[in-house]
Amino acid sequence: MGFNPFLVALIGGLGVGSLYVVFALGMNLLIGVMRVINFTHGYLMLLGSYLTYFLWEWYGLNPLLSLLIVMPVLFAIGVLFHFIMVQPVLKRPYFEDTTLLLTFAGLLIMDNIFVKLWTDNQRQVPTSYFNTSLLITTPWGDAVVSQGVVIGAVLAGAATLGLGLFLRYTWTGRAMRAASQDLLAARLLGIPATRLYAISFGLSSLLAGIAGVVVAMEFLFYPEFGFDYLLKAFGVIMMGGMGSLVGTIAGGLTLGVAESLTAWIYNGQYGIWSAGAAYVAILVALAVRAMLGRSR
Amino acid sequence: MSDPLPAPPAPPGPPSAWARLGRRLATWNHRRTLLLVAFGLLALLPILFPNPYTIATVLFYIPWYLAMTQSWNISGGYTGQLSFGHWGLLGVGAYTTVILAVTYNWPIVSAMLVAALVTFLLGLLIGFVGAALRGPYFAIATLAAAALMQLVILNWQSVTLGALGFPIFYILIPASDLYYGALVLGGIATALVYGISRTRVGLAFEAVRENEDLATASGIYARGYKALAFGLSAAIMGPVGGLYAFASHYIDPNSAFNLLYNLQIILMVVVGGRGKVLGPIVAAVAFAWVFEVALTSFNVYNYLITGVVIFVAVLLIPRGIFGFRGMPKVLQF
Repeated sequence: MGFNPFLVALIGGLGVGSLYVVFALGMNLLIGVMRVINFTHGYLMLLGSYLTYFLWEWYGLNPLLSLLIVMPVLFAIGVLFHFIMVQPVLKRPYFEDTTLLLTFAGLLIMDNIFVKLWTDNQRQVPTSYFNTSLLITTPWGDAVVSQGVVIGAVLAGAATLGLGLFLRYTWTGRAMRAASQDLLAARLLGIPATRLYAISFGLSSLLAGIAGVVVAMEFLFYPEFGFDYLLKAFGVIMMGGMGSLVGTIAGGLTLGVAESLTAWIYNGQYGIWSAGAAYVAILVALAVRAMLGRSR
Repeated sequence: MSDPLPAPPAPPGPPSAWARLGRRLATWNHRRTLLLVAFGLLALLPILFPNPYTIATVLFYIPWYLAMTQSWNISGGYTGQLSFGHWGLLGVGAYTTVILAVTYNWPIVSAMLVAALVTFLLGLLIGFVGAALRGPYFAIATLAAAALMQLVILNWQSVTLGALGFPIFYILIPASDLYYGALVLGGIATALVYGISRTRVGLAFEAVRENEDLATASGIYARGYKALAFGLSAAIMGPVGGLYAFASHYIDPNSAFNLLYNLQIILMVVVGGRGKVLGPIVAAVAFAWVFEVALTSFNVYNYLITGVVIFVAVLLIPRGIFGFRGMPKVLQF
């Protein structure tokens, strides 16, 4: 049996979708716990990608090993961001709008710094497994998939599973879920809000870092990437539901497959209409929500 | 026989239009004088610097930014809808005007009016569908809508010429016409922001911003008012985009759709004070000068500067430049 192009698109879409899941999970965690939409999330991810890239270029470090450095660094940066952007305005009226403006300002600043420091050039960590493809044989035909995509998907799955376990079985994770359900009640029960918020921001940023490592392994990346991914993450979150872990997983995989199939329908011209899948997803999901009368 | 009772005096009818106008003029206040002085000074600028090159490349952007700032202020300041979609409306306005004026040889003013109608309808649609979304979710929806508009313009090649862009070199408009066109738009937008605040509609807008549930419970159709505010705001952006196209002589999907403009006008409204009238005018004039004159050699740092200013303004002056306690009352509107 020959190649089945539909199957290739489907598997590729699931691979990319798993990356969207990890990336959007970080944003959704912040939305759930503290109602903050972090526009710098895409650039935090890129920070992880660039860190991976330079560790590889200077020290020849394998991207998978560089996770051990990227994760704590990004966690620390996330905590720092919390104290710069969220803590000072916690008690303001219109808290959500204010943090939105602040994180958007952060996005502009980071974008400009990235372009100045590292230019617009496309970069990539050319690992050996990036150019190796795997042949998958199914009853419906054959499909190829890059080994890097498989490793990325496994990594993304592990991170998602890890977050799920963390939220379920640790005290801090349970406190986060409590805070996302009812902040006032959680505080009355003795949960320290500031520390919890700082840890949530750090954790969200850490997830962005993991996504960044996957991006560095799989794609050519450049500063504008951060913004594109931000819109995709919005699409995932709007489809899956604000603050929902299972919804984010479903939404991310759906968006990945939708993009990949759009590209397949338009003969592999990936750039032309497939980026629109995310925008349409956002608008349709929001319109449906608006009609159902729920704003979150 | 008893005397007939004297006829009761006729109840006063509704005041005539003239009487109402007279009462309005009688309540003339310093605020209106201030606004007139500000616009008078702006109208004098091209006479003081008559060099057409200066007008086209520098001065034009002052009323242009002013029009966009006040347009954003109508929806962002009054009904509290943070729009990150005005850059899309700008691009759609620019393309509508250029396609009508260049491809179909329409007169420019009618082309701009049609652009205003198109963006008005788009704005009504976005405002109506997005009305149920609060704060940040509305921002995301508008961002996605604008990105989608850009994608459609980029890929609808038979009409928009796609990524090649539209050269408009052979339609020349005198620089001062561009300037006064932008100033008129700025004046309309300012009049809307100022005038609405003393009408029923404006009170409804503010009620919706402050507490939507309460406003709805008081019989205000919140959704309609939000859609109207966003539609009015969007209608200004259509001709503004048309002016941009004729001022830059060339548009393509990346230059006409520029998120930076949206962020710069948010900066101007935030610095000037959301929902205020005078503050955004001052901020727009000042920052138009900063971006187009003072920093032309630092263009690569525009994002950085915009970001830092928004950051500092949001943290330190949440009520805008005239919002401090010690400021004269007459400036705080």
